[in-house]
Amino acid sequence: MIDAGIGKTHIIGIAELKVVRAPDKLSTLGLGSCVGLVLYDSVTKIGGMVHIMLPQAPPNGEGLNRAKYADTAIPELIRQLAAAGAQPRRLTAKLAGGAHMFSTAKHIDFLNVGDRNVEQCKRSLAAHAIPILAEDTGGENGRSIEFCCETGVLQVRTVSPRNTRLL
Amino acid sequence: MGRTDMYNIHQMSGPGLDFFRELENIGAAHAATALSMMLSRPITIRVPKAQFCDYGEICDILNGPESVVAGLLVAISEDIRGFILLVLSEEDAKTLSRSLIGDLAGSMSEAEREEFGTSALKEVANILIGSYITAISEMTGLKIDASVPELVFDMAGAVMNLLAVAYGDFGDRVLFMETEFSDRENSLMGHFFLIPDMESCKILLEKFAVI
Repeated sequence: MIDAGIGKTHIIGIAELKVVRAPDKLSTLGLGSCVGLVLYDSVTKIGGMVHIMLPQAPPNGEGLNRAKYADTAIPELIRQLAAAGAQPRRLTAKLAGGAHMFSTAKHIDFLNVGDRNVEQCKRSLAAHAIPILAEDTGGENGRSIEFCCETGVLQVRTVSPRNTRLL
Repeated sequence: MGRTDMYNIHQMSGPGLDFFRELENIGAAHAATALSMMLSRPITIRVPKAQFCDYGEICDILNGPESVVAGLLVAISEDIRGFILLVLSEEDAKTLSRSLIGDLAGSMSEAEREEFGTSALKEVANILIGSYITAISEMTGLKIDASVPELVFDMAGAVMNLLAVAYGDFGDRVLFMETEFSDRENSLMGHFFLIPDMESCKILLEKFAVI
């Protein structure tokens, strides 16, 4: 490739996932109660990102979008990373999101998903023995994230207050 | 984007969507009248929409997921449950709060202006959403109660997450009811979203079959 070395940034939409390798970057914008999760193999520099919307897939969920639910998205992401050449035993995780944008919604069960998304991610990661290296979860702010497959750094941006963190 | 056909709400077609469009129209028209009176200038509404759309499309109408918006949320309860969400761009929200504070602004500190601006916006939401609900309630005969409005300034994607989550278990598309209201002078534009839960969608549609 002629443009080797100049990484492309792939934008992951809500309930989507993607696997890329260095020097490319992965980004997802405007996470509210959703969780942006990255799995990364630092040796092959292959990384995958998913924008998770809900904690658990319904029991009869055949044909559902696996990227949407924490409990199906994580195994799917591991599978796609392995298929791309990543070593599953080397994978590490970083995650951000799971906020409560409105306290009004916190009292309504079916909308109170921020915490449950984060908890389910942690359960599924533990089940696959994947360590969490860093997280920026909960709170009341929206977040945008960008992951660099070259460095393994996850950048988390908020607009209220305006801030950028590196994880 | 994949679509699941296992839930029949997605098979709701022309007449069902027409009904929701009519609800949105009547509710928003009343809200626009209330806002006109508050601001002493005409506020018009655009043709209301009621359609199913993909998650990704929701944010496009608000200049993308990272643009900062003011989101005013009210929970509705009683005969139907769910939410009403009023979304304005950050700039429009500030213009609106300035025009509500009016001449008082000159004698205020920055902190006071912010505090008054916030409560003025919440009051607008109260009045707009109150008249919206009253209109829908009168049309359907259903009792609807509203909570105190909550205001957040944040990324459009994060604010609109609520819509996606509300319908997330029912497929990859959301029922999207929207009206824009605008003021010719300031080209103020707001988006009104009525977000009934699934059970309430059914109640409304059943009611519609009766009417």
